[in-house]
Amino acid sequence: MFDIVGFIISLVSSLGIYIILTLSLNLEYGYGGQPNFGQALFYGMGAFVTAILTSNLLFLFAHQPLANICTITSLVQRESIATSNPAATLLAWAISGLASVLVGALIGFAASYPALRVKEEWYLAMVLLVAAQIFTIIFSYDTSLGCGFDGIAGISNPFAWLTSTSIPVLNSSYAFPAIYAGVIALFAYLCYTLTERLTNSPFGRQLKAIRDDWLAASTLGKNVNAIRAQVMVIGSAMAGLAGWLYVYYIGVANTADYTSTFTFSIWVMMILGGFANNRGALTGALVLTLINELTLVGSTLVQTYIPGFNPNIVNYSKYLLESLLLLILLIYRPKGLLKESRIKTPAYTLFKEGEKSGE
Amino acid sequence: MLSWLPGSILRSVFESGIFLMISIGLTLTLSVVKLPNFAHAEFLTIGAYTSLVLSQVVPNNIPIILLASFLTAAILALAVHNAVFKPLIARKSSAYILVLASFAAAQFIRYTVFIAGSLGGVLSAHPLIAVTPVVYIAGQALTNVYLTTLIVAIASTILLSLFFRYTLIGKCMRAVSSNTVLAQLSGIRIEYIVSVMWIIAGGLGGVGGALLSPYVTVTPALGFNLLLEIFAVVIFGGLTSFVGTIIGSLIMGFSENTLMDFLNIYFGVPYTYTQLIPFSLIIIVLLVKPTGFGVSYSANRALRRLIGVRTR
Amino acid sequence: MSEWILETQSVSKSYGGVRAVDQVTLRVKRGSVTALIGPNGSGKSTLFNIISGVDKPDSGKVFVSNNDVTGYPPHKLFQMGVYRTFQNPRLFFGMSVLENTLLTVKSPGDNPLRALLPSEWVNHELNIAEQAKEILELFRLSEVYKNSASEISGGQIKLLQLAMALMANPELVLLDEPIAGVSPHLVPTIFDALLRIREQGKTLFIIEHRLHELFEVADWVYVMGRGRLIASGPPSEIVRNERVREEYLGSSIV
Repeated sequence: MFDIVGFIISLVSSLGIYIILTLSLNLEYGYGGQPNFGQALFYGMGAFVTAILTSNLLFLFAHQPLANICTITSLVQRESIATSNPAATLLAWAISGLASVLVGALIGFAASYPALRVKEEWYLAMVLLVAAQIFTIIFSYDTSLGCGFDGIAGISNPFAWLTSTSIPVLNSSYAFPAIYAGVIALFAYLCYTLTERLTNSPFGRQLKAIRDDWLAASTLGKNVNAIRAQVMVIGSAMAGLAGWLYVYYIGVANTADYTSTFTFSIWVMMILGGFANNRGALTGALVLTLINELTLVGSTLVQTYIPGFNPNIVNYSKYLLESLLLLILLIYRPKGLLKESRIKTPAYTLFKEGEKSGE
Repeated sequence: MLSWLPGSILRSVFESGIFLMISIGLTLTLSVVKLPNFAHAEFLTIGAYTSLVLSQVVPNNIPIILLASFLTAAILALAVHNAVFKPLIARKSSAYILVLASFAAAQFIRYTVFIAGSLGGVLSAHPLIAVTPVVYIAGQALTNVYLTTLIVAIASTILLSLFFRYTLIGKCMRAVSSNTVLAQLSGIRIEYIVSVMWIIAGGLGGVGGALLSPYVTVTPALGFNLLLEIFAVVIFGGLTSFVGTIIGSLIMGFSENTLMDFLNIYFGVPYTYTQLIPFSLIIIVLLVKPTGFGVSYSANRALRRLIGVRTR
Repeated sequence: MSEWILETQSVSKSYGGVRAVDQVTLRVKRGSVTALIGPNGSGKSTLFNIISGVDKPDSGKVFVSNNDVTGYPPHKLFQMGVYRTFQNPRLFFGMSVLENTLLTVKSPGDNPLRALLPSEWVNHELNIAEQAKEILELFRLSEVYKNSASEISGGQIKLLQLAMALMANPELVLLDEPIAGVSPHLVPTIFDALLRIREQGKTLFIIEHRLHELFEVADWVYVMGRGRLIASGPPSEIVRNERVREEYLGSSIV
């Protein structure tokens, strides 16, 4: 009865995306000391850029005329292209991915300017929160940009065309979601490697220095503003990437997915795992993804087995648990589960050798 | 030609009054404990739900409902302070951590209300408070709730200013907000003052929520949806200035109503974009003029010297 | 190479109506050990802040090796060879002793793109690690190389500050009270470090509360009082200077 394969695919896909987002926030705040309360903005922009671009590109590459992407006809047409035309689909997918990363990076760059100008610490948080809200309003209501409240639908899985091939197993209804889950996992792994390399390097050292004492770091030759901008660009590019991956997974770009509540849950993941620790980011993402997925399962179970009981209560409990978790963490264990990791560069090996030879 | 104007102005004034009631508490919180409290909007929600629930028992009894809303919100504020903010402030947590914690507290309260509301069957409902016209101005009806709001808002403003200028607690509170260390050294019991502050801040927010409730469908996200606008009011007013909050709520009320009406009627801007006005202003203010539009202390003194009032 | 590595011309800085630094004009000779002394609140640290770019002067100019650096941000001054320590040591307490030391040196891996390719910076890293090892051993800090900077003792923190100064290889070292508050048995180590820095041809400009500690080594002394420069000269003259004695109000300056 219970769709275990579907569950695992859903788990891996969500986990991969959350890992990328948590790693990004960890880089910005855990290592870099910059609190990003507007992740939903970069994530959402990546998603919407993808949705709009790919919907138009699909028609372009399939040599069909461009039309309003918000109509049902457009949706049906795009789905049929996605299931029949691998070249167009994959090309559109790749290009929209590049665009999302670029747009994320650009907005991140723009967002680093308020960081320089604001007087109080938490003003930056306020600016980003408000910017995210403005983004939500514009994309919810402007039908030339988004498709209104329903969002932009019809973003099919980039491997959906496998179902129309005659290859056994690969053309089953489980194959293409599973393959895409694998792709998400691959990108998550790439991001993890990237972040680990970045943080275990002289650049990572600079980040921590600026985080701990930016004035002192400045007197040691570090260009604080430039480095902060660099971190924001990298972090938001990652968030844009996550948005691209997510939209193709969920099939629709809807502003309701990119809220401050969502930004908040990424913060819970990062703080739970322990900040300035990339493995911690993985851990935090895992715990919360599990909670999310179990909530979905629980909600369905409740609907099936306990009729009359509002299944939304399961969802509400999830948000309740999340916030309670963060409160407990902040009060009793603000450093999170895993300790802050050292900047592991080869320099340490030199000293370790000295230790071993008993100097 | 300008037939839309009287109604628009009246609505602006009403919204200003509501926002004033709700936002004063946030200004107080920022001023006395330097805490940007993202859970502040939940006091509004609790006030609205108190109104909703109580109106089932004593419909239309506005004074009792307002009092009860004050009390429930004040109790909630004290609870949040003791459970969340006191330990964190004692640990000298950074501003970001406090923001995060207040966000978490807000979410906790909000979803508790979601669950309680679902279980109790009052998830989204309308309080049993009849909105009846009392008097007419320029063809527009001023209702009982409207007049109550104005009276309560103006009375609160006057009472608060008297409180801060003439009562001992009020003066102590001003001392704490300008220099906490010095205040403590002068023997002021900080914890007591802070508790009083939370009672006032939460209570007024609750009253604001109750005054708003007859006009809206009360939902658990009622406060949360207004959170950024409440912050906008406070930011426009320069964050810690009492007069600034008055100015800020006027800016908010008029920009979301009269200005928006103007833009809609003459430029066809849809009402769905109303919030973009205050939100864009927030960003501009924070980046360009972080002190907001509030009257600074020195300007205040200069003004009063001009009028011939003796300044201390 | 200019004879004067550092020059200030009529530098002033006020904070809320109080003149912290009042028209200070001084010069520091390249390769010398110059002392800046004065009672608390005389503006010494503020002057250092201005020279190192942490604060901008209200008026006046600052020259490093004949270049006008007035108003330059701190990181630019570092690049021009100015290194500065703080009276209350500002280390990076979230990082280890080794990481703190390595931080003072520019690396190709500072650039995020290059950082992603270890081959671009690993060799440089190993080289500077060798240097760091030598320097840390000098200060007997090599046993605690992997300890967090928040775990080492106060004396070790002061030593680490000097280790980092040595590591950064600057031209001009501004030391803000390197000896004051250090336990007596560590003072010789610190002195050795100062002399070593000087041997490498670097210039030392040192703030100290009293002249006593620096009497033997200082080539020139500047005395500040209430924001102004009240005396300058070799140590032997300063000790006999009446105005200086007045400024210290009877307490010994030696």
